Amino acid sequence: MVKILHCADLHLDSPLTSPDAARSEQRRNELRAAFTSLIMSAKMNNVDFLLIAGDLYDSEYVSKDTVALICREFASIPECKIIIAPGNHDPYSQTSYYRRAEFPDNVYIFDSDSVTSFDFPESNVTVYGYGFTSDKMEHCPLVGIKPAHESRINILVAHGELDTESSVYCPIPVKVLEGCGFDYVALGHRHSYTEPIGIGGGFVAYSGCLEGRGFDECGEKGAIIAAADKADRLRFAAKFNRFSKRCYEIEHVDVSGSRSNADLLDKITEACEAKHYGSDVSLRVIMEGEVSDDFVPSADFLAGQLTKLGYAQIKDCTLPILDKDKLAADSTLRGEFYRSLEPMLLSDDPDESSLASRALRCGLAALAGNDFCEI
Amino acid sequence: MYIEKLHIDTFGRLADLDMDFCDGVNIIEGANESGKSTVAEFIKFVLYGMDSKERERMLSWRTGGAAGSITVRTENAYLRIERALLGSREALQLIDANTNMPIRHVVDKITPGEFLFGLNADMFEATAFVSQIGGTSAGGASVSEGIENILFSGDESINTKRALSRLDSARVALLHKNEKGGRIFEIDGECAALEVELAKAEEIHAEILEKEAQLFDSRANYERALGKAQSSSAKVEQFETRVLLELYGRRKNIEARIELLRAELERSGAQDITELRAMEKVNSRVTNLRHELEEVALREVTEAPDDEDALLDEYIELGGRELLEAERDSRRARSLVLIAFGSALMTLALFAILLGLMPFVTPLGLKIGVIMIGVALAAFGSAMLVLGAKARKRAKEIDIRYDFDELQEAAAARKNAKEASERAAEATAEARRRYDEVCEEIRRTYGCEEHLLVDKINELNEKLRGTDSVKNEYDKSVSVKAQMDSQLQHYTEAELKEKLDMSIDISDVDVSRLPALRREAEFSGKMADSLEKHIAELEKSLAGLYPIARDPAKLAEDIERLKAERSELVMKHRVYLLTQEKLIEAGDNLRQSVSPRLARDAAAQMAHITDGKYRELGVGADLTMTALTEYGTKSVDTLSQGTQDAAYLSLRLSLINLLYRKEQPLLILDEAFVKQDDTRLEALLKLLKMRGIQSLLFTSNSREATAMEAVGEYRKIQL
Repeated sequence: MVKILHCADLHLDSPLTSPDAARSEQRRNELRAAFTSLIMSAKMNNVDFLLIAGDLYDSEYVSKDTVALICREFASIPECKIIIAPGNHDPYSQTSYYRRAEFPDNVYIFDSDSVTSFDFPESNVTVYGYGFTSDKMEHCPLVGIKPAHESRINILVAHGELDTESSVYCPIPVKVLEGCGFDYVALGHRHSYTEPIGIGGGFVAYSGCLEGRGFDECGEKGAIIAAADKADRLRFAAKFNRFSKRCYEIEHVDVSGSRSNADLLDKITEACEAKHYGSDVSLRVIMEGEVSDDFVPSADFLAGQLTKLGYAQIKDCTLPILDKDKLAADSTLRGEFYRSLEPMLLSDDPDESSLASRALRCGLAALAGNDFCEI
Repeated sequence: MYIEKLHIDTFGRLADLDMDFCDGVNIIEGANESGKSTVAEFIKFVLYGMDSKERERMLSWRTGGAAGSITVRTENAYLRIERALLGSREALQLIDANTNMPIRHVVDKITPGEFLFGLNADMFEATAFVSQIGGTSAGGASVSEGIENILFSGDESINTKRALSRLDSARVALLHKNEKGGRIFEIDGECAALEVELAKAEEIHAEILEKEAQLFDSRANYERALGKAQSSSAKVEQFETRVLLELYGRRKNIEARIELLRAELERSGAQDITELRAMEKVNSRVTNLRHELEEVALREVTEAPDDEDALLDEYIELGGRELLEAERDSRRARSLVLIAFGSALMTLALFAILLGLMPFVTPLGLKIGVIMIGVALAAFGSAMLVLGAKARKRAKEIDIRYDFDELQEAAAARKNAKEASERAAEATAEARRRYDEVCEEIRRTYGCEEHLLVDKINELNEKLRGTDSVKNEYDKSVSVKAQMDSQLQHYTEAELKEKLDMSIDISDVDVSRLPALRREAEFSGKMADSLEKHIAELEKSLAGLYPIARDPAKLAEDIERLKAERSELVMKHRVYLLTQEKLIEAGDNLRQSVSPRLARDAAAQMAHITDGKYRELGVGADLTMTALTEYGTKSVDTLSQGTQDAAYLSLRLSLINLLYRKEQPLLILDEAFVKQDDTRLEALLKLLKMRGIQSLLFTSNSREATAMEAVGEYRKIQL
């Protein structure tokens, strides 16, 4: 029985979009910390094979320090075989660190865009794979590939787009994979975890990225830890293991009926508590619903009050039309102004209604002589 | 709102005055200067206070202050408003008239009038306060703007234009109309600058990666080349050492063999073999020197210059081409001058002689004298012509006699031959000196003349005949040893002996590959040197790049942050634009709907007052009015004063309908109907009665009360 840890898309040192540089730096450190945790886990669980299915780092941006950290961490688990299949962000190019960094002996890197293999007869394992040699790879190198020894546990480590006929990031059609007959296909490139699925008698899974880097990568992130045996037949078990230091989440909160920022805060807090969001969560709250036009929702104030969260971002998608009947009946400019915006406010297009909503707040504040710059 | 009671403590000329009003029409009659306008001003004072201009006019003439109260009833409250002003101190109280308890804080910041009507004093005066002095017009730019504000926002203090202006300022702060200014424009500039920096940083980063990769490869190649060079060199050196040692060993052997042969030759009587070789050598030298001497002597003779050419001797003696040509040219010039002068003198002589022969030359003495002068001139002229001819002849002779090119070449050849001859003579002397030295050496060493040395050599050769084979081997061995010595000349004996002690294994050296090995060692060595230089260049280049390299990830993040900020500001800009657009649109809609509303309402009331004569009125943006007459639409100001008053009263009543949203005010009419005839007066009073608005009608005559008798209930108060 061999233990396998499958991860991908760590994107160490990639640029991160945050409101300030300090927070970006903090997130970059957290990305490195997640990688360190992964190595620690491999050590603690006596993992035999650590499979990295591409995009370990971002070639364009990776620093020497990070490469040194990677080498150091790899060296700390000498018993574990580390197999790397370079992806489109860390291709095995002429200038790649994969070619010139001093990786320890337990690191095996696929340096060609054709399928090659590393054989580990003592573990009855053969690991197949290929590496991107540039940031694009339009062919599928798996066509016609078959493992040399069927009795071995045959693993494929690959970076690419599963179930696609055409892609610049290595298309891997399912029918091609079916013909190969690998026992486990450790994929990388997609940043969301997918449960192992059976293809061609083996299992295929995306581990997803190790740590989310923004609100487009929500949820828990981590790696797949698996065990495989092939004494007479293949026995395979896998589970997802979280390694991310922080989770990005998006919460739509209905704040209808609110007449003040305090009302909004109550409703948001209630929603956060219901989901048990804690300090490991970076939350984007999208406020929705009809609220009073008497106040301006303050995103900064609300975000500042959500201290239990690691980070909070408030997006106001409310409509200030709680008192729309009163506004509609108002014979003054306020009413006329509301009436001129009403078709846009009630539009099905969320962008249009959001724009009209902000314009309504802005106009009412301007007429009342109040500050409208924060709207 | 209705005023129930009024109490004046002191105000203007009035003191301790109480009045009770009904909810409808109240007619306050009083003679001129009885204080009718003062009562009207007092109501305004209690509701809105008093500005500095009014103080002089309205403060009590006796006390210098103003104090009093009014009791009002609204839909929800029953209030007494007390106001007192003494010097700079002013007291205002709002009291619940039911409980007699003060109502605090309500009027801390606003006046009771604003509290009750939602309008300021100007607006109140412009609509509900029709004074006898202020005229009847409700117009005026400020009032019209205030009215617009009220209509637009429900609060005349809020200026719609100001709101639009603020929105515009905010929009401009984000992006100017020409898109050449504002924060968005600035961000675009910052982004563009950062993108340039990012491109540069990425370029440097890529260059660093490229050079680091090259450095990595170069170091690896250097190590390989160096290893190969060292290994090949070592093999070549081992082999060469081995060959050297073999040579050394063979030389030792041949030295021993030479000694044996020498001994054998000596034993066989050929002890003079060395002397023979020396004699042969000297003989050879002397023979060579003799030949050399003969050769140079011959050369001395053959290269002696030819001295037989007399013309060349003459040419050289006369100074050569240069001097001869100078002489020729000089003589030519001289001949020209002499012939010219000679010819001239001869002409003069002929002239003088002819002159002397002329009959008109008298006396005879003069004639003879002239002829003599002519003869003398002819003699001089002839002499000069002769000399000129001689000079020309000599010049011609030089040209004919001397072929300058040929003679110059011959002179140069003679000079060269002379120099060569001198050099040959020197060489001959030198050869002779050396020949003499060798001859002297022969005489000294062998005691014979040089031509006899051959005989001595032959004698010795004869003596050594019979030991030829030994001698040949000896000679050959000596020659081989000489070659070996030459090969070993760079090594001392000690070095060679040291090498003998080395353990050298050349079993893996293929002798046939030795040249290839040598080439490989040389090539690898050169490649290692070249790579070492390349490595140094790369290291230097990288050392220059590292300090200027900026982190592209951080720059990319800065750009993303700016883009996010820009995106939000662009959204904000769209919001401002939409807000402005919709506010203007709403304002236009409202403005377009207000004037017709006012005009319709006022026209209805005007038709009532004028018994249908004026059914159509127009109201402008500045509240000026027009009326449709039988002569077309005319400005109300062109109509009779009474009609004007009626029209503007109609407008005021319409404005009250439109503007007063909280409480309907009372209408104060101070001598407002003096220009109306009885019919119109009655119609106006009917209108007031019909509107149900509380009216305080101040008048100095009884027309209003009389007319009101026919209209309905009213209260009359005599002042």
